[in-house]
Amino acid sequence: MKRRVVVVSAGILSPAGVNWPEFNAGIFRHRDWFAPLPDHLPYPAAARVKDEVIDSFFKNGGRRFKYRRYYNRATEMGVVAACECLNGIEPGAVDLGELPVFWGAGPNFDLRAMPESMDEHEIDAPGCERRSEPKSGAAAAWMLQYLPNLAASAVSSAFCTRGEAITYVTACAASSHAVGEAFLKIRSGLLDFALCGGSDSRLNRQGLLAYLMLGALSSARPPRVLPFCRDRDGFVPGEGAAVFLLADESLALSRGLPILAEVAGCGSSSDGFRLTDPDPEGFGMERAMSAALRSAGASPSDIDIVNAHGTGTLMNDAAEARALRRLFRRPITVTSNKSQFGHLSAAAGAIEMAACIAMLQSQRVTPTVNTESGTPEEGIDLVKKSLHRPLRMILSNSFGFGGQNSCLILKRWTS
Amino acid sequence: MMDNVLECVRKTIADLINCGEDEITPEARLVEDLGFESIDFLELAMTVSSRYKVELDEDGLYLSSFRSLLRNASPEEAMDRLRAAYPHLPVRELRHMLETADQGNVLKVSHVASYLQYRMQGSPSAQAG
Repeated sequence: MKRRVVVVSAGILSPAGVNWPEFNAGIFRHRDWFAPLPDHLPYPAAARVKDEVIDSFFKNGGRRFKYRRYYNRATEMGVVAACECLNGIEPGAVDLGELPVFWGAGPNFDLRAMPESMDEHEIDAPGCERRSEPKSGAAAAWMLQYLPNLAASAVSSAFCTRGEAITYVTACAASSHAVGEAFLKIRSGLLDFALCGGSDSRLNRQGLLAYLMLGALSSARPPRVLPFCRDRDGFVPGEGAAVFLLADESLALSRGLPILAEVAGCGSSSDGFRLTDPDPEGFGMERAMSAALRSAGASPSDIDIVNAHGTGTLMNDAAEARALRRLFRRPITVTSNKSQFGHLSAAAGAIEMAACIAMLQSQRVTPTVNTESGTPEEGIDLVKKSLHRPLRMILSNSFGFGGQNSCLILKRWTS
Repeated sequence: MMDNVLECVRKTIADLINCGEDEITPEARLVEDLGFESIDFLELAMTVSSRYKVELDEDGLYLSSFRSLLRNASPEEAMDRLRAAYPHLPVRELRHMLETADQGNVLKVSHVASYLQYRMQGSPSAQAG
């Protein structure tokens, strides 16, 4: 018999709540979490985590993070969330010395430790032929800030976890893939516990410009996200981190660990289509959802709601709606957290999985805010206001740029 | 001036390893007390050399030849070698380092500041001690 995999702890740093309890309250509120960005940035608003929250953790967290100078923002946020997740575990219940880390991350554009210009040999490094005065402030290992694996390395270094630490870089499906891989390894018996999740921030000049050049961001003022609605015009960027400790169910029970929910299945696919557009028919998305259902031993009728990828972009939502219609063959209840706290990019899958866990625990569906007057795509029963509903199984979709798809199935856990 | 250099070194180190400046006492040993590793030494050298616009000699700044100078030397010979190699450090400091050499890396925050001071003034603060 296959082992069952459960979530025994969660750590969150998000615009809708800077820890797990706050997040649980925040995501059922009928509001979005968008706020103005500083004037020097090329987009007016985003869902941000307050700088003070991060600074306060590193200043008053009761321990020293020696390598903070190499952290990018995604890594800082990941370390904060990982700390909450691990603090939620009874000391000694899990051997950190063997704990693996599976992390979803993206490219990092906030290279604070990098000198402003690298063109004029302005680096004061041994053996470097300088043509001008070196600029101070460049860290020797600034390259670390650029690397997607920095967050996973920083987490394992900060908390002395010594199992495998693997980073998944599958764009907006990254942290969903990371959780899925952790799930598969525990279910197959390769691992007993795994720390998994992801973190990302593109709320900097280069990150925002990249999105703007793709025409992916909402052009409304103030910006908002209207998933699956006919008048949708793009997403609003967000940032944050979500981290989970997954465990084999029988071990979690024998060690008296609290169980938040079950991870019942995962499925992945690639569109095998264009680099920049999703397959408009959503065949790749449908294959990933079907694979997740098979993995969970479930059929479409077992799914109570779908926490959609639902970016609020024209093409993505049209493709996802087509895939959902073909798979479910009935109007399916859908919510999208991106209307609330925007698109967390590589961290989107993990933060939206956190929302699924919160929904299963409270038997309530999170609202797709700002869509009251919107007309949804055919076959999409969009949850516009938070509602109580018996929830046993939720399908959570994450579809990455480049046609990389990952779906998770979260299940209510009862003893 | 010496106080300023020392303060600058302390602040630089505090920023580097993300801790309070009060933890960086002049007597704190970089490796043994502050957990310095190779990248920290590199960063510290980069920062102070661009701050003070001086070419730094790694042995002077970090006493990196300290152990090899003690090899096959009587205590008197060792002291002579250390005095020649590290004119920026007071004799009593060198003697203390010699006595505690078996307790790990001897480099202290104050040694780094003394070296910088020495390089900028060209006169050893050692005379004072």
